[in-house]
Amino acid sequence: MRQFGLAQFDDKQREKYEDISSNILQKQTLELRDQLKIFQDRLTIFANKHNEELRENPEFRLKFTRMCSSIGINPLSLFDKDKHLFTVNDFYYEICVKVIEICRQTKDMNGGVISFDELEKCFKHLRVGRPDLEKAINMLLALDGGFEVFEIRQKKFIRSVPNELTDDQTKILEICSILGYATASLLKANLNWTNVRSKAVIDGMVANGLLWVDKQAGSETYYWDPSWMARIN
Amino acid sequence: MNETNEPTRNEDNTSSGDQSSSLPATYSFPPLYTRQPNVMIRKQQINAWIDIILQFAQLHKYWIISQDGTPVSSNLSIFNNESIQRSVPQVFIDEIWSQMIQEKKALPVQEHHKNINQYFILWKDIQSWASIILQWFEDFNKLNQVVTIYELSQSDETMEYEFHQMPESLLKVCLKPLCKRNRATMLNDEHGTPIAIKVV
Repeated sequence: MRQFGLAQFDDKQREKYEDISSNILQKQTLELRDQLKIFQDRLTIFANKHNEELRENPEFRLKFTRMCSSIGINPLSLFDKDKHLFTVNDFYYEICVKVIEICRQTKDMNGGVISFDELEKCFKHLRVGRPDLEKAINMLLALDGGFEVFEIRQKKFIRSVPNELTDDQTKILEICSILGYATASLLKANLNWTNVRSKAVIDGMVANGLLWVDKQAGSETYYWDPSWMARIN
Repeated sequence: MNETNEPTRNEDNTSSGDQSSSLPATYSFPPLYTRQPNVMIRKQQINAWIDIILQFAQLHKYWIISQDGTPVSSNLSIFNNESIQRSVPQVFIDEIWSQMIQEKKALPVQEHHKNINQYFILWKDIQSWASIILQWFEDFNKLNQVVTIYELSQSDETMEYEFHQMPESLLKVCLKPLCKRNRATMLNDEHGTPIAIKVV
């Protein structure tokens, strides 16, 4: 494919320029990679040096991870997990495993829905703060294992069994998060639901283990959200 | 399995007369007192109750609790929670007891071979009690000596051990595994009831 006249000239020139520009880019990326490498090494040395502190002090850990994320490095992938240089990394994996365990153990009790508050309580003695917990749960979501985080009235919940909550079910849980329970008349007064609708939704939730029945509350049956238990003490 | 089942277990063990203060948070959860229609949930509910009873008995050293939930030396039923005005219906209480017996965490008290609607509460299983008692025999150099069951339960020497003040009838049950393992011999009185034991 020979080209004549200006066209031929243009192409050669362009090739030249392209060569130069790609050369410069390549150089830059190499330099950047070197810089990044140096920075990561420094960070590694830093983290290595303050290993103990990172483990012991949640506030310090938070600041450190925040700094990493602001320059676009995921602190959890920065560390080499095979060498166990960083207990910080193991630390989050440990939390993940623990969260899964707790979800499984309490599944029959709460139908697979557990509030972050309750989870946080379980971690109290391990010196794990809320930010650590949220970070670990975010890692869990990557597993695609049917874990899902949702919010009811600004309170976060994690669901470990893979069935969706319908809008109606969420509304009932919302009401439960105020008083701990829902009743047919509460639903009628607040959401203008008919008794038939309330009954259908509630019965479904009882069958799924999301609500507990209480027949000693007077004339009406109360339906309690098991996550209320975490709030009693 | 029940040990790890309750992450929200209340560790506060100060007994102040108020029974609910030292029990798990679940004890104050109103629907716990209604038999749950969902089978899976009900299983969990019964487990929660068994945990509560064991913890309650261990804390106050209530060895025997009668069928309605009142310990012999008290008149407050565990199944009746005044503070939230709920109580467990009798039918469900029976279900809890039968599950507890099945799991060997409660033992019906028998008198003259008759059931008298009271239960020994076994917060440790019989084998563990037997080992603890055996440990005592070893620690106190009582091997090859005859020790009465009354002594085991009431003597100052067992004060530091958890089986101190265990009812004699329950002690006899807990000593049986030792006899079976040929570690001990029971000595009976003229009516054939065991009164003392010799551990070798």
